[in-house]
Amino acid sequence: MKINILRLVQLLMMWFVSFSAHSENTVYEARIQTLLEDLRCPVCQNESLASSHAPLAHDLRKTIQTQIEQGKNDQQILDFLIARYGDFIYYHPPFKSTTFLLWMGPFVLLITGGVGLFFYLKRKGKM
Amino acid sequence: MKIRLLWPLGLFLILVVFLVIGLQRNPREIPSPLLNKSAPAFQLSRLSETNHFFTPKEMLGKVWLLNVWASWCSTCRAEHAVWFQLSKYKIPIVGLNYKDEKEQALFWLQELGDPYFVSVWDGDGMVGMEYGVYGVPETFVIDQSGIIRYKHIGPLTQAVLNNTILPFIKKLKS
Repeated sequence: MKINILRLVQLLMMWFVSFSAHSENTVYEARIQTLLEDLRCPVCQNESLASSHAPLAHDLRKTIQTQIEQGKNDQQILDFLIARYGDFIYYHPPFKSTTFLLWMGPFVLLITGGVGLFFYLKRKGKM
Repeated sequence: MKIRLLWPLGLFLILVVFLVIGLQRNPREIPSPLLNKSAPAFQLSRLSETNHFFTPKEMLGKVWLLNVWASWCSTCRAEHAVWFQLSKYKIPIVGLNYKDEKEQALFWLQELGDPYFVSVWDGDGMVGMEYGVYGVPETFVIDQSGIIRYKHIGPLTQAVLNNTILPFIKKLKS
């Protein structure tokens, strides 16, 4: 009986160890995946680094993996890539003077359209 | 009333202007963030003599070109002849052989001639990554203090050489 309990504890411990190792691995994989989905391949510009088959995308994936293994955080990895390939590589461009139109354009159009519509309806109502 | 009818035409013309500008831009040319920054340091072995190393520090005090090429790159073949034009201007060109087989690279230089001041071998493309290389051929103009001043993406043509690269080098030298 005693031996059986010991055995059971041992089995449970093994199960937990394997479970935790597995979940750690999935978190790690998921982190790489989310990071890669957010990055554009400079060669095949309509593909993300996650899906591109270009040799450069392969190299960049390998470099990102190595950097994660070295314990770098996502921001450090992004900075590394942006310093070499520019904002172009990141699907979330920063807000600065050159991207002003990109970020503000839709709102400018919306406001212009809204104002136009307002005056149009006002005049129509009068008539 | 008549002026109001011209509105759609006006909007259409604005659209045309934007489209014409858009068509003339090359989406493959991504502006390099390395412009006006120090050329990344590296140490690579030479293509022909494996135990001789090269580092960009050796070029300090000179205006020089870094040309990224590979024997598998067909447009590199197209631009190769243009490099010989440069030799008469005494501008050193450093060839960075990118992700290539050494034997094939050496065979290429034997076949087409060697315009390079020195050729280095970047077999795994890691130095290329430091320079943000994403499509060969690429050419960097580096000034006397080791700062990248210009980057040309794609094959160098005679026109690009005469109209852009050479005047740029002249400006840097003066």
